[in-house]
Amino acid sequence: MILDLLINDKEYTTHIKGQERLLDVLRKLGFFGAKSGGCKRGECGACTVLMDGKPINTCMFLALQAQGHQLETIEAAGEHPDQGWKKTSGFDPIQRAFIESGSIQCGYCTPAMILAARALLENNPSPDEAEVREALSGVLCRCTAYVKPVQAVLKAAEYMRWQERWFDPALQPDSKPYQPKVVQQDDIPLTETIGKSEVKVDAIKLAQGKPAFTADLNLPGTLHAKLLKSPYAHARITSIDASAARALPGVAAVLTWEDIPRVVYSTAGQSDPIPGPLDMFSLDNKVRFVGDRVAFVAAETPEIAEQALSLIKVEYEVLPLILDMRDALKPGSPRIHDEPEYVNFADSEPAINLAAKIRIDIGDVDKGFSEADQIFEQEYIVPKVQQAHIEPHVTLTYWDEDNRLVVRTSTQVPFHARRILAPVLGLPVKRIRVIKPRIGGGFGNKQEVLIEDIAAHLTIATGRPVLFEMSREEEFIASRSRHPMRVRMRTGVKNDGTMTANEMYALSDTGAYGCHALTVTGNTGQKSMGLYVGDGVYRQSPNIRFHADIVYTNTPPAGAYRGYGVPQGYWPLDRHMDNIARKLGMSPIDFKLKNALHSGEYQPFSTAWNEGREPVPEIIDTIGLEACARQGKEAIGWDEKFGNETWRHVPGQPHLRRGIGMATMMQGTAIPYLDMGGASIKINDDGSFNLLVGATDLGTGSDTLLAQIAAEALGVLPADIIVISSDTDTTPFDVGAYASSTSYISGMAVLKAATEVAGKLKERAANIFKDRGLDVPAGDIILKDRHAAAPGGESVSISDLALDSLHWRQQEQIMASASHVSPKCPPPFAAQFATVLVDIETGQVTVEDLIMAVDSGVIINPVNAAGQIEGGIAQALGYGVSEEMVYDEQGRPREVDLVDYHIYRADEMPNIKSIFVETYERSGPYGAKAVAEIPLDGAAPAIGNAVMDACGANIFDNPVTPEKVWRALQQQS
Amino acid sequence: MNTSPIEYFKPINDLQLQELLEKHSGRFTLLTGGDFTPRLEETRPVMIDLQSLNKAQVLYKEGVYHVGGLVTLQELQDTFSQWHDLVAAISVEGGWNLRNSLSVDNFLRSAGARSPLLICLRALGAEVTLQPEGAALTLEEYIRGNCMDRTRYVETLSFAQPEGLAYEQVARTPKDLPILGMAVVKTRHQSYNVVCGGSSDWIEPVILADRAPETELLLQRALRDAGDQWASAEYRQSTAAVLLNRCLDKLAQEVDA
Repeated sequence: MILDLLINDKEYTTHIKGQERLLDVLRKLGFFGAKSGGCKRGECGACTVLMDGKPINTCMFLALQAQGHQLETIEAAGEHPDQGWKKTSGFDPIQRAFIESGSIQCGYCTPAMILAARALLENNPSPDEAEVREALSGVLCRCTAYVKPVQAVLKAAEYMRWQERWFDPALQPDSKPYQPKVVQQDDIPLTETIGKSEVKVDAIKLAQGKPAFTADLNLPGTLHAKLLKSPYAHARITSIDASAARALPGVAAVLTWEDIPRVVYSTAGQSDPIPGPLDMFSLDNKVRFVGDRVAFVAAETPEIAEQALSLIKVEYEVLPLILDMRDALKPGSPRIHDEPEYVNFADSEPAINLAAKIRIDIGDVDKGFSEADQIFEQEYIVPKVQQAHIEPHVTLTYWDEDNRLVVRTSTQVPFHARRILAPVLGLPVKRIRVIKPRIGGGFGNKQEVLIEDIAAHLTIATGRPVLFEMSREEEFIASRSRHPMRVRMRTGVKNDGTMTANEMYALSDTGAYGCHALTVTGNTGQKSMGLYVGDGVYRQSPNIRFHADIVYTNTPPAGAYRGYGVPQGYWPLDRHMDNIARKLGMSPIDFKLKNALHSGEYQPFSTAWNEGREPVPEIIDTIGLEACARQGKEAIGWDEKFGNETWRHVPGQPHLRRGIGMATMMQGTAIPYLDMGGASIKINDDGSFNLLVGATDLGTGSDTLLAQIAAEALGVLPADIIVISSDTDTTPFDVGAYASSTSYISGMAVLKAATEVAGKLKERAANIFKDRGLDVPAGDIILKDRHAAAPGGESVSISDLALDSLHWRQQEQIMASASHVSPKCPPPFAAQFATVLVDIETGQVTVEDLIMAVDSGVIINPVNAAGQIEGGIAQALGYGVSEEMVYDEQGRPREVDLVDYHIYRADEMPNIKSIFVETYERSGPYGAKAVAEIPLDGAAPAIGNAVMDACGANIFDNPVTPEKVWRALQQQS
Repeated sequence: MNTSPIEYFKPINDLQLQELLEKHSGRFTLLTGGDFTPRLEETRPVMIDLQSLNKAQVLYKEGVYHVGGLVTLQELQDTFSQWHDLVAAISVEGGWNLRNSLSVDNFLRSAGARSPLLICLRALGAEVTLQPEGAALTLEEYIRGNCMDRTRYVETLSFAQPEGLAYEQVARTPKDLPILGMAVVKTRHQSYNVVCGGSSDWIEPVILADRAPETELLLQRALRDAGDQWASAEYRQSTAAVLLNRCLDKLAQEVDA
């Protein structure tokens, strides 16, 4: 039928079929700023547009219902001011404020936020912060913690008031973003671009809602894929009949395990050889969790594909199941992996449901315990949680004109995806091209070759483009999650607080498949237990034991999630350390710092373990932990609050108690001797540069940091660097975005390549100076302000050097490529502080403040780095108080949407603040270390410690939910 | 979802609506605003969109509020902006854009026992008038069995002006759905309607004459089987007593004020 819509003051007439939603029709018409969060129930708000000036969720309306209304999308908000000969009025003030303020990380929810802000400011030109938060309350963001978007809307309001009332340039509001506090601990060389809060290189397109994401490409003839999922947690498929589904008009292909080659593989996006078992098939005759794959369908529309799923007849032999990780290793437990193709890695033993095993003993642990005055022992529990990126997993596959398979996919690991897909699809690597567009968040869940094979198999079967987009429900039941664990701590201490031995045993639940099983759990011990070596003689010879068993259960597989096992370590470790300090009568800060690693000491685990490879001992040079603790203490007012009964009680509210807590943390920066990134740089006629990297910016801002690194070395502006990332055909290899490696590893590759290009520019400048009668050695020339300058002041522009090299004489393409592997893994350190309000009658915990001081080396872009910290803290906040995935006795999930799996909204966030303590890490580009993962580690234990401080409720089982606190208080009383 | 051709109508008055309903009897689906859980799998070939009818008004008549079925949650919140606890309960249901999208009719179809607004409406003793047949049902009857029928819609949701309404909840975060939510409405007859929610299943309302000593016992009884994956019955029983006292204190303060 014909549909007439009024969009951005223009009339559109289109044909629609059946009951199409407004979201789908807008996207078909090319309004890609409206995004799908996969829910279609208004849960995330990414699909927001304005209808008659009010923000609405387009996934909740049929397109027909929008007839007669005025629709406004992000595409009408504003555009680039300079379009060649055509000049425009430029960006909307709200877009401008979002761009300038660092509000845009992955950018998937940005158009929705801008439109919600627009609706607010149209009616309320001077909103306060609470009103802004209220306006943004329906747009979920997993990246920013809403800190900078709220600042942006307030700034936009200033711009709009200024435009309306004065329009005097002298009175124009300051366009600089709010800068985080940056404290320099070491002497740090002066730089031009490094250390400046440059605007993200992708901010402008994302603020305009440009079609930058995987699904923003309408290829003619695209089929839509759907997945038939298992209703049983453990069953064998005894028969499967897809004939009725295949006969349905509009169905192009139905694939079951009988139709495709049986190739065992791992979905873990890691370097070769994958450090874990190969235990998965694209389709199998056995299902191992509720939501496991049964069949793939491709059809002309998503609705036909959905209908086809219901026509597939499957008979199952239901098998006994394992849901509790403690049952997995028990004799007589059902065996989850009995397939003959299973490939062991290290100590995996499928016969006893053991995916991996870790045994690390450093020093003489038993002797350490025998020397202790007191030994403290406790079991802790951490839950399964979901990454909850707003853009679901999405892949588009098609054959190109050279009969090569193109995989356009929202992935953190394009090169690993290509390598892993090749045998699964029966194609050589050279016939697969993986393109990574912008990613709407991943947080580790896209470090997985999770769905690319589904679309690819269907493209092979049909010869046509296939789009597979996971629904929100599928994200919960069939993607990956953080490994839940039960962790037993045992710690020996002297009465003066010296730790003599520390032991952790982790029972880790990898779910139905062993992706990341070994390496995630290895990190649990390595990067948490490695922080505490003890004091005095123990400092030289620490006694640390970390043992772990990683077991299979019939729950959805766990995998990589930002923090990669380390948050699971810090909940038990830091809560345990805090409790010990209290029992010894010491300040938790003093106790933790007394036993923590010092500069110049070995990371103890580096002497004993390396993810299944040969260990390489590593001395840690830069540790700003004490300064972080000092800064955090001051910012939160620790000395005034800790142990202060007056502060603890809330006047007029006898049922409330305040508490303060802190945690200290260490993460990692890349995987030494393994993570590798490459970069290529070439100059253009105007002195701009193409920077080609395989590194994968998933919203973190890494493309911007890489541009800043290149710009610093080349003496140009970041705006002169055109970043191209990433395409396995055109960009150099990079392991991808994980292990906090991009700025450190890929950044060094960029720095090496840029330094080589800079050398060539200097050589050419020296020749030009020579022609001018100046004899200047190339080594004396500096590149700055887009010029090559001699010490005497003579200079030549980079653009002239470009023309000289490309056209005028001794022509050459000035370019260079480089790659980098690091022998080191210099950890970032941090101190996380929290204050909470506990209702001692109900157990409800309200987090009031989360302040984190971080040593991430030199901060390349402070606003961007602050965004990483803030967003990470928000995820960790959820880990601390609300997020968990629960299953019933049949393995069916409680959480299948963003209602029950509640992530924080803008109008309920606590005060979040980040502080940077800069150290100079010589092995990193311009002194940088990692920043992205450490904010995940400390909020949960700091909150747990603060709850303990508030009311004495000692919670060992994360998250700190009301009933747990209530029970702990009941036990006390 | 229905992908076959459909007929779509947007009547502009009740007469047109009536004619369409008669003409397409048994073949239509009613569209009543933005939809939380649209039943798009329904295969009826006719869609009748009610948005141009005058069904999005809130009227107050003789001590009773009549809320049109196409009133959005945001409009409801704006109308009752002085009822602070009701506003707070609505804000938990969803953010601004969801509240702009979701109509009362569709909210009532989709809301479960964890819904704060529904807890409040139940405590208010709301009734619904369904069209086209003009049937009047209590909200309790409607939500427990009659709400999924797409061939009729809530024309009005009605409730009497109470002496006061108080809402309290315990949740994991300030805007999370409650583990235990409680609304207490003091009626003009000076009794108290107490409704608890937050568990997966419905909890029976409790009517109290006053702050009577048996209050806790009644609540304990109502919550005896209220344990589920979100919280134990024991916890809910204990916490309900706390929330009840807080609600009653709030109502007493309102009266004092």
